[in-house]
Amino acid sequence: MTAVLQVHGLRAGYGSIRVLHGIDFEVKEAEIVAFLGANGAGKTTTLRALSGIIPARGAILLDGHDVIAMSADKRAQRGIAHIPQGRGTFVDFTVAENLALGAYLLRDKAAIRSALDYWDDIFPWLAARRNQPAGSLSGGEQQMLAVARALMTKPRILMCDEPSLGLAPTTTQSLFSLLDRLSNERGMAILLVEQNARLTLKIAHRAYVIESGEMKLAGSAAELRDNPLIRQAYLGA
Amino acid sequence: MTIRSFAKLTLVPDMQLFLQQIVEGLASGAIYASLALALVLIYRATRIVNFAQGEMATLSAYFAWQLNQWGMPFWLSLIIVAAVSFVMGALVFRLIMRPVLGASDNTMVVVCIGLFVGFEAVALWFWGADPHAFPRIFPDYAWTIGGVRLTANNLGILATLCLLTVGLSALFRYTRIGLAMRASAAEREKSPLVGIPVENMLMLGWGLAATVGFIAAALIAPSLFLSPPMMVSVVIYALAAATLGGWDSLAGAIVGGLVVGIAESLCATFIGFIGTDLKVGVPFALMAIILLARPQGLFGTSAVIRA
Repeated sequence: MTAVLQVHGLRAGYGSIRVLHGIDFEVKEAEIVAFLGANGAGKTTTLRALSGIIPARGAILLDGHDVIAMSADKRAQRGIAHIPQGRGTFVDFTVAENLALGAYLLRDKAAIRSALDYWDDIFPWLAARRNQPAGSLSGGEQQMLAVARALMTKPRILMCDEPSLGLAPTTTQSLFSLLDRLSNERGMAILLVEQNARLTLKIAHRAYVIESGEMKLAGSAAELRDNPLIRQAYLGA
Repeated sequence: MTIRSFAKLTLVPDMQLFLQQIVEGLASGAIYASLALALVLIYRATRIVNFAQGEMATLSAYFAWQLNQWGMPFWLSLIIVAAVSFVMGALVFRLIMRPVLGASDNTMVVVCIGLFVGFEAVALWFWGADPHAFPRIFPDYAWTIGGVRLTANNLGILATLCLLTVGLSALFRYTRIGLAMRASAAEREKSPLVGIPVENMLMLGWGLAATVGFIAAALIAPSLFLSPPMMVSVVIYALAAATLGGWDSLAGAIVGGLVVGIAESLCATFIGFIGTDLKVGVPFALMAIILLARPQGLFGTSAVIRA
């Protein structure tokens, strides 16, 4: 399998505060890669640096091309989809407008139509809520809408920042099975930042553990599940 | 009832005067509303209250006047300057506002005051302080219905506001670029994630506002005469209109403008001690009342969010 995303020596921070001290990792086609780590370890910062919301140094190779010098909108065009932490939707905009914003880069009407049909199929409730503001949906629905919005354009990689935050366990389950399905059916490369290590390591193929802005551990999900350090720190066993 | 038979009705003089003042108030209110639209467009896009909007509009009006003086047909000079204003607004954003985006409110206020003084100085430098007569856009017809005089100018001003409203609503509601402009204004950090070049959208917003501001200036210049500080009082009314209507609402700017116009005209006529001398106090009084009673303005929104 080819690597969709290869990151080398990624350094980023806010002002004079350096958060990431040069991290390396990669995500391959159809692979779900989890980022585990405590609060403040630099997981969110990594995603923000990758999508270009904050400036970063190092190399971010998307399909072999370095996008580090590109602005955030150019990177989105290249196929980096980022669902930020919390509400990944445009809360004041209707469901239909959120999907239209997701399809902003699509010029082809037929492509937009078929993407809308695809998501209507997966989330039948979308059609009924079309004219409702996204902010009035439940937390789970907002997260589902955020996924649909991010995938309207068929990006190369989907990055989700703590999608399970504030969701009921059953909602988290169905969200994670959706991500699993996307990787299996569409070959989507997914980078998943999560606190919920137990559930994440069930669907992830590989995982990285990040600590104070540095890579601490890397391995297959099975390896990490059995690692005593991980069990103690993240799985509570 | 036809207009002819309606015209035969004789209203009591006070009622006639009242309706006449409503008509005058609506017409001037429509101009305040246009400039308020420009202010709200910029506020929504960049969270900046552009005090200099009126001075930018005055400079545009000078451009149109100058082109007309050089022999260009008036309507053609209006169209050309509408486009020039757009470019001017976009350039002001690109060169002056963009570097300070995200700075403190104090910085923004000072930059806008700088623009205010700068634009007025440019107009003064090139064209001097003497007022010039500005051609009327609409013909000099007038109709009298039930003792109330309706001029083509007043009706034309109201029609222009209607067109502006319909045009802007259609742009923001039905077009891809309008949606992207709204998204950039509302969610500056998330918008690039769907591929929207946010700064270009903000620049378009500033350009659009400058064109709308020029329209307001071209509508009022025939009655105020063209001079560098022409729009200063109009901006005060427009600020009141935007505050009244709510700074994030285009509909609010329009309703606010019309209310301010009518209130000004009625107070000046019917409240003896106000008269024409004190009528500039009316918008301040309205602003004070709305800020006490409903600080977000009549149409200002507080977002509905479920966690």
